[in-house]
Amino acid sequence: MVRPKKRETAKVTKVSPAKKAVAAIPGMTEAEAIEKAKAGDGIAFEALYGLHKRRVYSLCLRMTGNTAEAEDLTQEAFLQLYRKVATFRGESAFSTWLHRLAVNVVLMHLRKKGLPEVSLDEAMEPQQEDGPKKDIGARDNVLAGSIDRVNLGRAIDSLPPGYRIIFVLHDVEGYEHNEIAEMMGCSIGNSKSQLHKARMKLRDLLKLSRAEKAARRT
Amino acid sequence: MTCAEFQKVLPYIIESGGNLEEEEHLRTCKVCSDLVQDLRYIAEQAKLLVPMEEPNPRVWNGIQKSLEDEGIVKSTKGNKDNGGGPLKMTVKVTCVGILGLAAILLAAHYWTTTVAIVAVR
Repeated sequence: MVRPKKRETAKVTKVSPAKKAVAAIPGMTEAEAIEKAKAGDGIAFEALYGLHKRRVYSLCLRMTGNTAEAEDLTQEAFLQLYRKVATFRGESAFSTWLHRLAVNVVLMHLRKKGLPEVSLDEAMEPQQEDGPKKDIGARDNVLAGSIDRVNLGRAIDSLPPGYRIIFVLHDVEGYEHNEIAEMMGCSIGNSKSQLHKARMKLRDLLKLSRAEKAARRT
Repeated sequence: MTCAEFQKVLPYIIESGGNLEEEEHLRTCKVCSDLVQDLRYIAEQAKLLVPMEEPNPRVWNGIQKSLEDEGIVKSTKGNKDNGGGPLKMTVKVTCVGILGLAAILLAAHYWTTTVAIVAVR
């Protein structure tokens, strides 16, 4: 089985991200905006916000499944960015550093809410112990080529919180299991197990969705 | 190897690969190979989910306000009126007006009192 590449390393960028222009300020690169933001330049900070807001907000939204919470967490993430930007030393890409900061903000929020970071849903286990999973619906058993990203997004949103967090961190955002284990305070094995459960649940949801669509057509 | 045995270890081998027995089962069992194919497909599609959601403008407004309240930054939009804005100017004008009116009333009262005293004399 081929090991899927981590999302970040799979990207090919022709221009160094640090050199790309910050859209809000023509002629200013991201690196320059970072240095100015470190010095307290509000305009440069606003430019960095414009550059990274979508990714941070999408992350918060996918992990929480709630618009209001995602907005609050996005706000908190950027406030923390502003307070901590002086500590950014360029050892990793700025987007990676910011992304990690945002993930920590979300996880802390979820811990305060008392949500189980690792899902307590054991409903999947009996099926796995009983043997092969029974496929739902369609004649064609494989999903390949049959799901679109809108449906996948909706299915992710409907996952139990614990499954959703692990799935988003690993499959969407590209974190490795050892990183997730460290962030979540669980073992690598647990991270793998929860990810598998999340994918299995998504598989069921997507097959059900496909079967319902097919039934509506007939 | 049975499907149940294979699916039990699947979470731990799907990325790194299994041993010979596990790989052989995967090669020969349609159910498990379909399952693995689906799970890998889901993971691949997830990687393609681009951040498409745009936060409401109030998010930035909240950030800006928090930073200004903390005194970390001045307004990023800038306030050209060094006096502090139209609201402060209105307050100043109102205060001056009240003081002026009070002064006029006091003066009028003094004048009226003075005239009355002179009239009595």
